[in-house]
Order: sequence, then structure tokens, then C-alpha cells
Amino acid sequence: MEKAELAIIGGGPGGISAAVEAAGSGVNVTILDENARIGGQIFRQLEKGFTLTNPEAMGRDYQKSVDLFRQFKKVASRINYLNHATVWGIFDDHRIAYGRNGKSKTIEYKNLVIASGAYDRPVPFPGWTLPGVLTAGGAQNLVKNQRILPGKKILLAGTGPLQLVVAHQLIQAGADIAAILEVGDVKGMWLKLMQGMWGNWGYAGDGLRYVQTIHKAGVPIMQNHIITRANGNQHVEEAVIARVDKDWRVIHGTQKSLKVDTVCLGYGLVTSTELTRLAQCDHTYDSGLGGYVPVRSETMETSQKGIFAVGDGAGVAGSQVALTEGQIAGIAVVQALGRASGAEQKKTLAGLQKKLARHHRLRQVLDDISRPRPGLYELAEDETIICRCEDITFKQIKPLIQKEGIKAKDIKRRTRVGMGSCGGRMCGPILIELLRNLGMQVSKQPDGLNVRPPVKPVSLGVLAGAGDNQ
Amino acid sequence: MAGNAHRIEKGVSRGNHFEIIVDGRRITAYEGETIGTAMMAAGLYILRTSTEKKEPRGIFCGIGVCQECRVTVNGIPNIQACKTLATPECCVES
Repeated sequence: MEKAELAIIGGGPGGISAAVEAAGSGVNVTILDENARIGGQIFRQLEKGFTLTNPEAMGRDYQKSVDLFRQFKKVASRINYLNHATVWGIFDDHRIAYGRNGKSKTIEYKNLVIASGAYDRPVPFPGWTLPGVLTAGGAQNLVKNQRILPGKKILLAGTGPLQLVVAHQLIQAGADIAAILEVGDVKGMWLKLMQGMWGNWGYAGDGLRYVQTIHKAGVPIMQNHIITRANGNQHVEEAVIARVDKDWRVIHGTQKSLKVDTVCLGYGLVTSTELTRLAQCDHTYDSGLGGYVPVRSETMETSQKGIFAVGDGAGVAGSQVALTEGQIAGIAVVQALGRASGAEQKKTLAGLQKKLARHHRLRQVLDDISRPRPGLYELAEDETIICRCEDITFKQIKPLIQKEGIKAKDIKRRTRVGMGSCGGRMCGPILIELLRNLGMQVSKQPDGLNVRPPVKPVSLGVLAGAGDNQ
Repeated sequence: MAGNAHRIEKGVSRGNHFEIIVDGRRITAYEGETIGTAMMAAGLYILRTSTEKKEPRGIFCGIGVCQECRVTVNGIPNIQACKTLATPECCVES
């Protein structure tokens, strides 16, 4: 069995920054990453075959990623980077099981950093399963990394700053954007927003640049607006939008139709917590942070000793926070392994924690705007799909969610919701929010949908060979 | 609605191109493109038909989470079109 002083799951900014910090102090690190190359979603590197003709035009994220990759290269000799590695189980006795190249393997760790990231919040409404409706993150991936525009006339619907980033990228790639719908109320928040921006000048500058591009392209930003329906035969042809009140509830009589062939949904991100849940870390629920989040100490350690969680997977806050948290966890691991002198590291930690506090100030304001309100989960109609894998409709789960004392796992057992190939990653967060909206208690511990290995689809062949190398 | 997606030419150059076969039809793919991208560029947005309602589904999350883009590649089912790179002459069934 392979062994690692530090195992890191996830090759995004959080995981890589933890690796750089620990390997820089002489720790032997193994990274398990699902992707082909380091970078995660936000710093994803172009596939072989594509060549950038103008790297400067790639923006600040790209430049930041170049810096991080350079640091990674310097310490790469102490890092065992395993790409295309899908972790499917975390077991007692510090063991991780993962699938790679059609085989299952096990690795034993002393310390573990989970940097599992986040994905776009799934929001069900009539027509959300039509081809042509995709997530903002998915659209961003297509445009940035695959260099393809998914359509000719695009509607952006959602909330928060990521929408502006995506709009900026789409416009630069030559897209025609019909409108950007911001479901939240930004107008009443300007003062708070300015206060949050104070000291976070990088973000402020970026935001301004995005808004300028959008205005120059003549794209309307429609505040307090939501998409209520996507219509079309086999593909999106029309989007119905409406004005909403402060609870994001549709104001009747304000519906309008837009002719579009693509809809990008960006309602913020939800955390990927399958692994921290599997490791039986304590969690709390905070929809502003993206749902279930592991409880952590100041050094990013979870309730399970030696298991750390960093980045968006531990509470959605963006790549800068992920980088900082990764560094903090890296230092904590170095200390735990007794490789650090102490005093100097304490000073660095204090500086990093100050940086985090500054980021969180801005984050809180943005969360205030984008935290899901009840109306968001009232768009589904009887025939709207809730569970995409198993084709389960709202009508099928409606009588159950209204039952006193019912839990998400009971609904799963009765309807098969959450049992499909996505492992409940799509319908799970929806189900919890539906229950919360109806005033049901959602337990602090993620009893939502239990996770069991394998947490990711792994072929039976891989599982069958699971004992091979133990 | 087919054919509205298009490759971005600005700011990037592409490598070799080759053909892949999707449901018996030959389409062009460039090195580094996923099966989903090549199909989208050819106007093929429907990657699977849903199990119960037999509705068309396409790329949704685009980052390998939702499993909506599962296709069969060279006889192997449940391959994610949004993550899997196209290879010359690979045979895709949607």
C-alpha cells in the first residue's frame, strides 16, 4: 500500500496551495486529482492542442494560476501528483480508496487535506432539463477552456458576481447576451458593498472592468428578475422571465418572454461535501456558504483529527480564500509533523488569518445579496424534474416533503430521489432547501442524503479489483 | 436550433483535427476537444434520453458532476461527454 505524510484530495487552488506549503517544508505529499492537470475548475489549464495566442487577454485569474503553477513546479520533486484519480472511499485507519486507470488502489495517510470544491447550485424550474440550459460554471468551462460558444443568443440568470465574470468572458468571445438577470436586490446594498470592497481592491477593480464590458456591449442587467421557465422542442427556444419581490417570489403579471437559444444558470455554488461527510466530520448547514459545511478550527482542521478541509468545498468563498486556507492547512500539517520551528510559522499564520478576515468581510456582503430566498425553490411545477438521473418529478415528492418530521433520507428511500448516478449531487441540495422552505427541521448533521462508498461512479471492474494491492 | 454553437477563433489556435463518428455520422473534432464540445460544434446537443420520460438531455453542469452527458464510447457505456477527450475515429452513441 502507498503511504503519504500528507494526502490531498483535489488539485484546485486550495489543494495545490496546501501542497506547495507542506512540500516546501520537506513533507512528502500525494495529490489525488480527478483532472488531467492541476488547476481545478477555476485555474483549469487548456488541453493539449489549444495554444493561447494572447495570454495577457486571459485576465487576472489566469495570471494568478501561472504564479501558483510556478510555485508548484519548484517543489514538485516532493509531490506525487496522481491525475485522473477518483476517490471513492475514505475509511478508518487513515485509508483512502481511489480509482485510477481502471484499477482501484489504496493509500495510507498521516494527514489529509480535502479540497473538493463546489459546483453550481441546482435550481429546478419548468424546462431546466432542456438541452441548451446549462450552469454558469459549465458555460465558463466551455468558453474559457474548450473555446466554444454554446449558442447565439444567451440569457444569464442567477445571482452574484460570478454572473458578471461569465458575462464578461462570453462577450469577449463574441457572444450576444440577451440580458443578465440578477434575482437579488443589489440596489439597496451599494453602501454595504463599498464597505466590503474596502481593502479588497483586486476584486473591486475586476468588478468594475466586468460591468464596463457589459455596459459597452449594451447588455441589460435586470435586477430583481428571475427565469421562471424555459420552453422549446428538444432545445431552448424561449425563456420566460419575471420580476420578483424581496423574497425572490414571482410578482404575477410581470412575466415576459425572451427569444434565446441558451440559458446559463448561476445561482451561486454549493459545496461538495461527500468526502468530509464520508470521513464523518461534523458539519453545519449554511445556505449562504453553499449548504453543508464541515466545522473547522482556525487551522482548517475538521472535527476529525488530522483531516483538514479547505477551499470552496468547506464553504464557498472563491479562489483567493481557497489559496489562503490551503496555505494555513499546509502550515498546520508541517507543525503537526514536527517539521517547523514554531515562532516564524505562528507569525505567518497570523498574517494569513488577517487576510482571510478581509476576504470574509466582502464575502458576507455578497452572501447577503445572494443567499437563496424562499421564492427560488417555488418555481417547480408538478411535472418539473427534481431528480435528473431518475426522472423524478416534483409531484412525486410533494406529498412527502409536507409530512411532519420527514427526513430527506426517508424521501430517498420512498422515491429513489438521490439514488442515481450523480449520487444526489443535483437533487440533494434541492431536497434540503425544499424541506427548509416548508419549515421542516434540517439537522445540523448531514442526514440529508447519507453518503456511502463509492461516492463517485466507479465501474464494477474497478471495485472488483479493490483488494489487489492491499 | 441545431448549429447555433460555434468555435471561438479569437485568442487561441487549434492543433490537429480529425473525425469522430457520432451515431453513424462523421463530425470534425480538434485535438483537446471533449466529445461534448465536438458534438455541440456539430449542432448535436442531445447526449442522452432520460430513463422514464424519454426526454432529451444535454450538457448541464459541464464539469463532470451531474452525469447528464453520459454517452457510449467505443462500446463502453456511461462515459461523460463533457470530460472525455475526443480521439480520432472514436465511435460515440448518444
